[in-house]
Amino acid sequence: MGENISVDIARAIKLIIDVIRTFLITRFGGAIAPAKSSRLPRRYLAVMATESTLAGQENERKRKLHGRAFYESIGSPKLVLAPMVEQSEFVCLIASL
Amino acid sequence: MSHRIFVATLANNVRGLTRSSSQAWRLLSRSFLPESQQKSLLAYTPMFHSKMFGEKSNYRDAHFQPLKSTIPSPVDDYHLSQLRDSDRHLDGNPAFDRPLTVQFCSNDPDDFLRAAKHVAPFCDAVDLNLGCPQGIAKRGKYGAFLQEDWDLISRMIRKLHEELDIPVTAKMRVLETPEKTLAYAKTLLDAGASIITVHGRRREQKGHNTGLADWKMIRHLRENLPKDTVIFANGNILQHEDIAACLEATGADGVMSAEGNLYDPTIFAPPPPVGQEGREYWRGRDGKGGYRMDAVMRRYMDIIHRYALGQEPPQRKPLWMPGDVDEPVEQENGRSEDADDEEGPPKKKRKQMSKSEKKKEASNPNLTAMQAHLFHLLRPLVAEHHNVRDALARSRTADIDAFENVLALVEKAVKEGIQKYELEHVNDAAPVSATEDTSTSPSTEPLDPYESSLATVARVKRPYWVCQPYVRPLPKEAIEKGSMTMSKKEKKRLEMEAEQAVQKGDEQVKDVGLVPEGRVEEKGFLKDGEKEEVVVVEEPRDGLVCG
Repeated sequence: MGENISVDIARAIKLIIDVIRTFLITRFGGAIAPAKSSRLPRRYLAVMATESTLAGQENERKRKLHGRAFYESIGSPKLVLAPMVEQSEFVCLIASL
Repeated sequence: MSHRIFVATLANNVRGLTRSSSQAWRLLSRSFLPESQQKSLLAYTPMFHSKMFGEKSNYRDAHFQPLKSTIPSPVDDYHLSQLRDSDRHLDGNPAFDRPLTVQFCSNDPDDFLRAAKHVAPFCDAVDLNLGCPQGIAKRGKYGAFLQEDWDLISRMIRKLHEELDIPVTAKMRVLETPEKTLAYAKTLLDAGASIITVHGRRREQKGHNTGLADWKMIRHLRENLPKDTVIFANGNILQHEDIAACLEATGADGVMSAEGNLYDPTIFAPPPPVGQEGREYWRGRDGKGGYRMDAVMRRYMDIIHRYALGQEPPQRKPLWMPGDVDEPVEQENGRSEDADDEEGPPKKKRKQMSKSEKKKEASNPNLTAMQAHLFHLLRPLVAEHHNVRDALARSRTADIDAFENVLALVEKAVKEGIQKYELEHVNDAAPVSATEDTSTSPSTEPLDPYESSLATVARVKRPYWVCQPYVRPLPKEAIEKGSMTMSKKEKKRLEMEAEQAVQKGDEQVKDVGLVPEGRVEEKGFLKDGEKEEVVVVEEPRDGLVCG
């Protein structure tokens, strides 16, 4: 819990710095020396590294497979559970109130 | 509270239970497989309407919840980079809901792609439904009613094949001749379908005209399509044994079960060896058996507690089984903590709910999906135990406690049934090894449809307390059967009973909102501005499989 908050703070700081940098560049032009983001305390970085983003995971399988190669990549399933008709339109109904 | 905020709050509370019903059912189906095999079951989501899905965020939120927050739109790399594993919710969660294919119906390549892009980061493939035979699919011009328009189908599949990050697959029905079916399948594959699922029935085969799926047609495709084509066979899977028979007869790579799973979510699981039934599986003296309905419903309820309501399920005593010592008196107060007492009748120990929890559930007004699933699961049991039927019918808008009460009644009914069976078979030999007669599997039945369905009914029939498929005998064969074995009077009585049971069953199904011809809902969705647009959406028949 405590670690998560630290991570969030670290992310927030990083985000603010990035925004300021972007603003400076767009406002005044030119380039700025590379950020020294590695100055973040090591323990923050370690925690951040343990939680991958979904984008990171998607990048790992960026290469799209086709046909049998795809089938084998998901474990060559022999059992397939068919689509069932959705049984709840209730939320839509409420949303239309 | 402004009107819109109220709606949003209410919708959020409802989201949990209503939407997760199909996801909970997927979890339930996987849970009966050995741990190592749980990932080898590929599940499909219900069929979503691609136009609605691509355009309306409230439709998406109501039908597919991969994240605790709403699905970002557009789903681009930036938005994805902001998401973390801990943001994942139920649908497509790698921890328990994969591999997963999301299915759409569509009749426009752009609609299809727009919808698919929203789900691509959260599933393994996207499927195009070309098999739905229902009237609403005809009116909406999708499903099996596209099968005359091969050009449009090709353009839809090609669009996704070329522009979507994950593979596209398609589900088709067979056509009138093997040649035409083969050409149709080739069209789908040439357009870029990674897998084709082939339903061995034609579009006309629905309702009373359902008949048997034609496995030979699938075999024909297997033998005439390139060897590395991935084919799933669909149709005629009533019980576990049929899966192997279907693989054998069709040469398909996988077998899709639809209605079979709806009545028996344990259908994918191999039966435990004789002597290792445990408490959840029941085997009769003739070696035939199945998973007990009380066991399956317990698992389902636990999943609903854990995933839909986000709370620990109530502590449960071990399921009763023959040989357990009966405890005569209900323990009301004292001694309530001996949960690890192995012996004893099933008693509900319901966790006292906090006021806020009760309130939350009270605003969860629609448990129709759970109820519909349970009516399918418990069909033979509620036909005999009307108290269970009535309790379940009353649970429609009630809270989870009402369903817990149904579970208690189911446990009691199962116990009664097994006890009676034990008394009647007290002198029989111990269960023999299950000798399923595979020679009567559908593929090799040369009988006419009436006779073969009669044989099928006999083959799959089980005592009311174990999960089993539902096969409605045709009237003609019911009479024939009666005349062979019974007196005229007896025959008449049985016919009446059977008819009433069937009618009752239909009423129950109607009671829970499973209307025969699908339903038409007028749904208003807020368009970009403030102007409200009423969209008429026709959704296919509840509780049935659309393909």
